[in-house]
Parts: sequence; structure tokens; C-alpha cells
Amino acid sequence: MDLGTGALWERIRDAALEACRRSTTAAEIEQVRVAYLGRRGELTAALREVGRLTPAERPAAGEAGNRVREAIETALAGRLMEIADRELVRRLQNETVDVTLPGRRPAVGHSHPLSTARRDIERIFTSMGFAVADGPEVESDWYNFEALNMPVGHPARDMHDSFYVDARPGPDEPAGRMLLRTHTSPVQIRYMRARAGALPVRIVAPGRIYRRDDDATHSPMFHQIEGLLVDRDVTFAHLKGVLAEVARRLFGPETGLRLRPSYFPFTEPSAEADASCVFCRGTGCATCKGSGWIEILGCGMVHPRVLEFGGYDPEEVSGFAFGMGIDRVAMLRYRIHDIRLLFEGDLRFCEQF
Amino acid sequence: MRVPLSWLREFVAWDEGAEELASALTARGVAVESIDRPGVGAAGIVAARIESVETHPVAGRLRICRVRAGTRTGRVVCGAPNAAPGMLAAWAPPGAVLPGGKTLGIREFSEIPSEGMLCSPEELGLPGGRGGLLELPGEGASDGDDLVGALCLDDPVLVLELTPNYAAHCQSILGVAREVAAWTRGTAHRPGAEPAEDGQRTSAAAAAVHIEVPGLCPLYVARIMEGLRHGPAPLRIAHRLAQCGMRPIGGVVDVTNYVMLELGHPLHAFDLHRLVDGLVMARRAGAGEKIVTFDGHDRTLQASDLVIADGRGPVAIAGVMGGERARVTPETTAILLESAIFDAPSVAQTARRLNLPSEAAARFARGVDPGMARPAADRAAQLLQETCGATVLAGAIHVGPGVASRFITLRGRRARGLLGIRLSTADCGRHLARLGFRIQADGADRLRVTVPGWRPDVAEEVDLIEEIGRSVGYDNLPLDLPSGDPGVELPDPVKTAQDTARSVTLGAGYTEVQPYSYHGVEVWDRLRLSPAHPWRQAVAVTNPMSRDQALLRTSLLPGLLQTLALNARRSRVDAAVFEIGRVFLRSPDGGRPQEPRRLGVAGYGALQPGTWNQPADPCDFFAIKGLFEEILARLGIGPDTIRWERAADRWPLLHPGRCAAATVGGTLLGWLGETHPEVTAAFDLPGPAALGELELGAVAGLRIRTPKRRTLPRFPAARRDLAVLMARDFPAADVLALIRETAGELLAEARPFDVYTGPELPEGWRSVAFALTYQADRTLTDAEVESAHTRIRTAISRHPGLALRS
Repeated sequence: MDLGTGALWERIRDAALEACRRSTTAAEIEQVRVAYLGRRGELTAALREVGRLTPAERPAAGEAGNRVREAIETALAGRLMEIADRELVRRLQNETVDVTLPGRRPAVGHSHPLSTARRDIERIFTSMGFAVADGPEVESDWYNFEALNMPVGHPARDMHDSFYVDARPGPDEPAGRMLLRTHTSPVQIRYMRARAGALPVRIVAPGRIYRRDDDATHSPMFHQIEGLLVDRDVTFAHLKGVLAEVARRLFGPETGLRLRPSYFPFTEPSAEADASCVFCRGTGCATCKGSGWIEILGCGMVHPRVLEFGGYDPEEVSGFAFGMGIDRVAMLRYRIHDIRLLFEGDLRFCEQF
Repeated sequence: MRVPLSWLREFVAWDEGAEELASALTARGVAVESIDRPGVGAAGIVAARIESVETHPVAGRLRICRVRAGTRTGRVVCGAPNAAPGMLAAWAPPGAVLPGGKTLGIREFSEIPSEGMLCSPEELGLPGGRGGLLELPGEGASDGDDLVGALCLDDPVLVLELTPNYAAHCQSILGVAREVAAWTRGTAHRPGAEPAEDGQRTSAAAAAVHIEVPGLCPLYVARIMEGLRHGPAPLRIAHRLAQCGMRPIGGVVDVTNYVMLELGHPLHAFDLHRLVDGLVMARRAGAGEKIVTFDGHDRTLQASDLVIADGRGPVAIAGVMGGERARVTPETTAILLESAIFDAPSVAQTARRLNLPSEAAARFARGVDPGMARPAADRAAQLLQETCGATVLAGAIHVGPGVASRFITLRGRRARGLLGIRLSTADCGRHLARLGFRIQADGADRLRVTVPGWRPDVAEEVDLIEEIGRSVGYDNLPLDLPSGDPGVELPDPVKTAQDTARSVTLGAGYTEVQPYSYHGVEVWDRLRLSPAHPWRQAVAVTNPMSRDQALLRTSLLPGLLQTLALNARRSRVDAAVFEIGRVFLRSPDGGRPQEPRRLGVAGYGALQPGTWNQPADPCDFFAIKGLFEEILARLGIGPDTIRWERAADRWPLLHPGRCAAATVGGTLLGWLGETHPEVTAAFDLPGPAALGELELGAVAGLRIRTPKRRTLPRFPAARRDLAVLMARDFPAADVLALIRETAGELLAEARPFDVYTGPELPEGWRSVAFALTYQADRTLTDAEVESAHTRIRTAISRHPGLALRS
């Protein structure tokens, strides 16, 4: 062997580097490493031969051999990295997805438009210091009519065509027929009596109500939210102020409010409140029948007799009350033209909200 | 109420257009629903004298009329049978526009050109027969007159939607005119009504009036007229009746209706010669007394009804409808004209009971002005004289105590306090005076206010305050926000439970629906409920509009099943819905029903449909159970505290092997399951539905806890699995309980993770694998874990119903 001239080292190096270059996998690299650098590898064997050289020849041969080893090791490590990089690229390619395929949407249910409207309205009032109250849907004639200043024979009862039920009032209530409440106003009386004269009374009361009426804009079952504020020195100006604020928060900051005198037995003065049409901004369209205004609620100053029925002295306190149709708000907001869609439960409808 | 503007102008003047008038009235509470313009666009129609009529040379049924309108002449082809020389007709010459917008030109009829057309009443939007020309009366009109103006063909009509209070005074042209006058600060004028009377004979001598119940009839005015000739009403009256939605029928009735519309006072005319004994009396009906009303129907009366009777019996139901026997007919020559005041509630009650909502009843029921009784009778007499040639007997019969004026005291302070405005007490009075109230000062801050007879709706001080408010204008009242402490409300635990149930259920993929609170009886049969099933103890609606409103629901599930069925019918593959609502539970003694709030959920198919890379997530028993467990856990009711039991008998709509009740400490919180195959079929569902109901009140009744912070484990946990063989009906929960009992405090968690049945297991047995996690506040040694685990294995192998699976 010609360890001293270096020709042997060069041959081994060239062969090893060539083998390294030809390798395409980590396994092949390992084979090359074993073939040259392994225990029985060609270079290892050659290096072993260096020991047999004369002491004078040894350093140079050893140095040449080690340079070759380093060169091979460096080449193998480099090649291995190249291969790993290439494999990563290939793997990423294999893992590529078609980004145009549909995503897996979480199956989250849809809130009913009536609930959404109710919660929005509730939130506006709670932020203005109103509590949320509640009352039964099966109500006595006394709470539904009598205590709201609609004694038997009162003409306004004609506008409340009622469903009657076969039940009797509770033992601590005045006798009379039982019906499905025709408005949420009985909660006014219930809440005032529960407060037993304490001030202020400041509530909203959402809920289902029932009237014998059935067409595209009237359902025998519908929803209302009642409002009541009783305190010292409450005036019509407060009613206007609160409702103007509510209209703005509910329908948008540019919304105007208009009050027209109207009639409810349990308020005096009474008013019908119109908001400027949210669709045409008051210029007139089909929804507002060209008037630029949309009727949103009935309201007024609580009638003295109603305050008395609630246990308050009308000479000491005053208050305002209002009743807003939740279905109407939802129908306006989502442009629903047939109220029956709200109750039918067709998921193709419900899932739009 | 319909208000033709040309009629209104006879009572009051204003400058603004119809739209401005309508908004002004609406802003005063007299709501104008719409403005009806039936003859809009009509122009150029004139009165024309027919000078000659010839038969058409070709078309025999047509005729050729030569007409003259002032200086203008023309030749018009017409098919009307009543065209005759000398007749004054309505001519629409070329260029004229008919109501509705049609413009006329020259058109040929079988080679003869026609210059426009001669019009029938119908073509002009007027009441009257088809097929004939409108014949204008000879007096008061001459050829060349503009008929659009003369007949008010393009007259806008305000359509009012009156609230019950304003209905009292705005159901007449005069009443609306008063509102217009208050708006313009002008005055409303009533047309004069002074009939020329027959100086010789008096009404009082010709008939007698007697009131038996002055409480129900405080005033009765009667006028007697003779020598009437029946004939069609003059065009102006007929046109106005039609504009107001009443059909003109000619003679006396058109006049009484006209005066009612004009002055708001209903009148009634009796045929004087058919009144037995020439007498009318206002008395209560006898119980069961009968009358044939003029619409030909037999009516049975009650003692609470007021009737007008003659010597033989009732001739009218007072204020509601006249009787057949003494009604006026085309042959009637003498009448007793009644202009009376009847008690409003009594008329309302009778009209409602007999279902006779007549125009008269609609006015009496709201209260009519006692001061208008005599003027209305005089106005009718005057018109009857003009139109029917009536001889009006002198004077009128006045009977009854009359109606006293009403006074209300108004405190200026109170008005300012309620309206929130600065307004002097004197100014309050000025506003009221504008509306017809009479004002007297009564101390420094008080006014004594006399209510005009036409405002029966104004009864107390607050009513006056509303009048001031609407006179000032609601839009001119100030705006303010309430101050003061809003008060503190404790959160309602049921509402907390409701909100949690709602957000968890929405997040789990159920969509909210709002089914009706009622249903029909047949739903129960489809649910396999026995006749004695508690769900059938429902509160019944006694006057439903349809069969499916007959019962108040006792469970949310029938409504949800119907919702599922509707979606299945509409080919929906997967459906999952929920509702948070009330049910109505009949009280055993028939008293006030309970109205507990519940969460109801139901679904079929998948909650999350399968996709190209994910299997479907079925809506089954365990989906609903898991949902309920999650809701309860978030309300502080952990799964370990809930007891689940199969309860096949209580809910026959559910699969007997796939239904369960959840209780905590004996309190029933909810129930759920999959539909019984018969129920699945009865609702036409594509497969079994899973459904359940949670009693939110009961859930809230258990103390809802705010979650407490637990220290996070700092040391690693050790996990061991355990497979247990058991009979298929052995509850896994019992095994878990046994594991927890024997494990000691090192066991942090135990849960089943696999259930297996297969041929290598004994028949009727299954294997349930549990994952156990051991953990402590230190690093556990193998020996410690092994010791605990061995205790569990031993306990299981000793249990007679269980075995370890190796």
C-alpha cells in the first residue's frame, strides 16, 4: 500500500464522496458510512495500516488519513441534511389539502329572532336601570281587565277578544273568569302590589300574550314587552325621553320618535309611538305605507285608578307605562312579512338568524 | 268613519292640502288611516243638454245624440236606453278625463264618430244604476256647468281609524270639523236648520211620547211630518252617503242617515200611520219579548234591553235597529222622527248581545251629544221638506229629564306635573276652551271646567290633562330622562338556569323554535298516552278558534315533535330544535294553574352531519343526556349527584329501553329518551327522535353554586384501565360507585371509555372498560397505585354480578 504518497487516501476519498453523492436516502448514507468509516470500513482499514509505517512516515500519513475521514464525515452529514430537507419538502407536499373543500363548521344552533329581539330590548332597558319582571299567562279577569281600569262592559274590551280557560283564580284573588292574558299589562299590577308601596317601580316584563285573531299580520299568540316606571314626579317628558333613547338604541342613532294621542284605558294621557321608518329613513316606502313612520308601541301616563289598584297614591306618585310588540320589532328588523313563520318552526327559516 | 273633504268644508275652513290636514288630525289623535281618492284625476266633464236623439243607421241599438254645453256642441254615440231630448246629462267631451284616469277622444262606432261619451253614474264613481245615463236635476244646474266641481267627483275622503274615546265625537262631519277648527284656531259652523213649519198643527197634537225608564232614555225629541213623497235622494246627498260607505236607498232613510253622518246624532223615522194609538214609549223589553227587526230577523229581547213600543208592542230596539212593523216604506206619507238620547252602556250591551253593530248603535254606544237632539231633528225636517216635500208640523215633542252638564275641577299644578311642561293655569284653560270646554277660574290654581255634551269620554281630571297635552301637541312637549336610584333587583335563579340552558343548548347545535302554547287533543293519542296520563290533565280553552287551540300544553315535547314532523315533511334530513317556555299544569282543585318554565329539546338524524373527513354525530339518547349533564354541571349540579333511572311507564311516547329520568335527592329534574317506534311512525319521522325536558324551576331550586377554584395538580397522575364483565342490564353507574367506594382518596377520576359485546362473551353479558386516574399532592409510587387498584379489582371480583375481564 502506498500510504505515504497520498494516492491511496485520494482514491478512498473520491470513491467515498462519489458514493455519498449517489445516496438518496438516510439508509444509503448509513451504508456509505459503514463502508468507509465503519469498523470494517475501507478508510478504517487503511488507517489501521498507518500504524505499521515507520515513525517518520506515520504523522504525515495519519494526518492525510484523518483529513480524508473529516472530508467524508462532512460530506455525509451535509448529504444527510440535504436528504432530510428534501424529505420534509416531499412530506409537506403529500400533506397538502384542497383549501377549496368546505370547512367543518361547528354545529351551533340558531337563536330565534323573537328571542334575539327580546334580549336586545331587555338589554336596552336593563342598562337604563329597569329590572326584568314576569307574570302568569293564565290570568284572571281582575288582573287582565278590572285592575287596568277596564270594568265589565268597557268598550276597550272589544279590542281584546280573549281566549277563556276552565280554571278559577287563586284563593287570595278576586273571583272572576280566567283567560289567557291579552297583554302584558297585568304584570304592572302584580309588580306594584309585590313592591307594596316601595319606590321606584322600574320594570320591563316580556312575555307571551293571546288574542282571538289570525291572519298574516296577527297571530292568536304573540309577544309583548311591558314597561312601567312609577316614582315621585314622573312626567310625560320622562316617557318621551326614555322612548326616544330606546328607539335610537333599537333602530339606530338617526331614528326619530313621534307620539300621537291615542287611547288605552290604563293610561291617561295615552299615546301611540312611531319611529321614523328604518327602511326609507322617513321618505316613505311600502313598509311604512308611505308615511315615513312605523308604529312601534302604545304608551302613556299610568291612570290614577291603576296606581290605586297597584297600591300607590296617585296624588303622591306618578308613572308611565308602555307595551311594545316584540314580534313586530323582529318582523321589522328581519323584514318578515308573515307572522306565522315565527311560530311554524321550519328550520330553513330559523337558521337564517 | 269616512270624511269627504267637500262636506267638511261646509263646516270649517282650512288652507292646507289633504295630506297636511291628515297629518294634523293624526297628530291630534284622530288617526287618519288613509286618504281615499276614488275620482282622482277626473277633469273636463260638463253638464250637457241632449238636443236630439236619432237611431244609429247601422247599429240599431245605438243612438246618436246631439248635445249642447254652453256654447259647445257635439255629436255623441250612446247606447243608454234613457237618453232623451231635453235631458241634462253628464258629457265627457274629447280631452275630458274620467275618474280612474281614462282620457276621452273621438272614436267611431260603426262609421259614426262619437265626440267623447255621455256618462252613467257608475262611470263617474257615483252611486246609481248601471246601463242608464246620469240624469241631472233640472233645477240648480245648467248646461256647460263643470260637473267635477259641482259633484265633487275628485273629492278626497279621509278614512279615520278612531279610538274608542275619540269615536264619541269624531263619528260625524261636525265632530271632525271641531277638531279642524281647534287646529286652525278657527270656528266650526253648523248649517242652519230651520224648517218652515205648518203653523196650524203641532207635533204634540199628532202623537204622544212617554218615557218609562228615564235612566235609559233621558231625552226623547219627536217631530211629526206629513205629505211625504218617496223618491231618490238628490245627487249630492246620495253621492255623500256613498262616499261615506252607505248605500243610498231613497226617501226618508237617506235623509236620516245623512244627518247622522253630518251631526253624529242617529235618527229614526217611524211610519206614523202604523204606530198603534199614535204613541211611542221608551220602556224595558219584557223577558222573552220578540220583535221582527227591519232586516227581517226575529229577535228575542231581555229585560235589560230598551225598546220603543207603540200601543201594541215594540217597534224598535232603542238605538240599535228599527222594527219591521212601523218602518218607513216608499208608501209612507207621514212619519214620527225620533231624535233621542239612550244610555250608552245599555245600547252597547244590547247591540253586542244581538250581534247588531249598526251605525246608530256605534254612535249611541260611545255616547251622543244631548244638545244635538233637537238640532238634528230640525235639520232632518228641513232636508225632508226640501227633498220629499214634507209638511213639517209645528214644534217638537220633548220628553225626559234631559242630561245635566258635567263639571271637572282641573288643578294647574297637576297638569304641569303630569305633562312635564311650564304652562300657566290660564293657558291650560285656553287650550281647553279651544276644544269646546267652558272654563271658569276656581281659586288661584284651579279651573272649573264644563265638559261639552259631545265629549262623554272626558270624565275626570287626567282626561282634561290629555286634552291639554294634545292641544299643545305631543311633539311640542319636552323630553327628559328619569333620575333617581333605579333600585336593586336580585337575580332570579330560574332566569339564571334558563340563560345557562339556553347558551349550552345553542352551543350544542340545537336551533331555537317557538311553538304555540296550545294544541289539539289528537296529539295525545299520537303520543300513546293512556286516558289517565297526567299530561292529559290540561287546562282547556273554552272558546278556541280552531281545534288545535283547544288545550294548553302540559309538556313542551308535543310541540317540538310537531316541529320535527313539519321539517321531516319538508324533506329535512337532520333536525335538532329546542324551546324554553312554559307549560300549564292544572291545579287539582281547578284553581290557578302552575306555569313552570322548562327546556325542551328534540332532534332526529345527526346533530353534526358527517362530512368527507368526519363521521356524523348522531342525535340520540346519549346526545340529550350529555346536553342535560353539561347544563346541570354548569349550574353546579355535578354528574355524581344526579341519579339516572329508566322509567318506561311514565312517558309512553318514549322507547321503553331508551328513556330515563334524572333526579337529585328525590327531586325530578328532567326526563329524556328516544321516541317509541309507534310515535316515530305517528309523526312520520324518518327515524327515531331523541328528546327530553328539563324542569328549570326544579333545577334552580337546588342551590345554584358559583364554581370554586381548585388547586391545579402539580404532580403527575397515574392511569390504569380496568375491564369489567357484567350483565347487560347491570347499571354502569353502580360499578362506578363501587370503584369510588373502594378506591380510597388517591382515585381522582373514573370513567367508562368502552362498552363491548361480542361472541366471545357469555350471552347477555357485556364488558365495560373504565379509565382510572390516580393522583395526589405528591408523586405517587407504583406500589401505592398498585395497592389501590388491587383493592378495586378484588372488590369487583368478589361482587356476585361482576367479573374482571383479563
